[in-house]
Amino acid sequence: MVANKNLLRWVGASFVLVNLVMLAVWGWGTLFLLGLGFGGVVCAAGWWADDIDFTNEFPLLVSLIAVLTIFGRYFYFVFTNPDDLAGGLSRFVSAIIFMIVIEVIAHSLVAAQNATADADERDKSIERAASRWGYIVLVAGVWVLIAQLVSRVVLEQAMYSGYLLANLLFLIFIVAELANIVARLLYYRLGLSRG
Amino acid sequence: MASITNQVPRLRFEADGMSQQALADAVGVTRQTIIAIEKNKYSPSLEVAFKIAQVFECRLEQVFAYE
Repeated sequence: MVANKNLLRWVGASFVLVNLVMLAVWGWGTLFLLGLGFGGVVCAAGWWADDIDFTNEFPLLVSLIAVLTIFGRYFYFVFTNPDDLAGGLSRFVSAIIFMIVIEVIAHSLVAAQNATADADERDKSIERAASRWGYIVLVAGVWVLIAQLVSRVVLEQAMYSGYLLANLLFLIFIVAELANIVARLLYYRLGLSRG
Repeated sequence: MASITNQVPRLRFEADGMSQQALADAVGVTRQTIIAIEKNKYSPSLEVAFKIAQVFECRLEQVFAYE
């Protein structure tokens, strides 16, 4: 299923308006930011492209914005409060639960539109090609972390804190996942040639 | 740089305006993949290329060209 650009503009603008009103009334919060970001991206997609693949690209867009906002907020807390282990753990659990809820809602919306379809050879090719980008980022991140830990240049504090080290590794994992999502979106938008 | 081009839109038009969805169903891929092939954004596998040629009852090189 594809959503035409008028629908995208209408839905995106509605999201932005509703969230702006909520922001004005209740103030800042992750949920509002998420809606605002999602509305902005959908609205922009309405101008950028003729149509958007609802089956594949919509869940990817939702995942991208959700990972950026939810884990961005989590890592901001962790690295600005490196001694608050209990606060970090509770935020970690809530971030995971929030991600699961958002993913379930996004995939339910796709299913409700009867847009589910088995992945064909193009989807699998794109998944493979994007996974390579994610893997490259993951490996590069781990090597940079190892080098920093050995040379004790930047991350001296992490040498003595398993909590910080675990979060640095988690950050690398999340960045690799982001690279994977962005690569898949770009391959769906710009095309994928064999070779 | 050489690339793979195709005559899928013209062949669909000549086949009584076959829809992208009908071609996708006949070949066993999604409509999005047919759209990507027509826009030269995706080069299909040999298997899918042969299936497309089979649907239009023509030879492979009448559908796809490397130029």
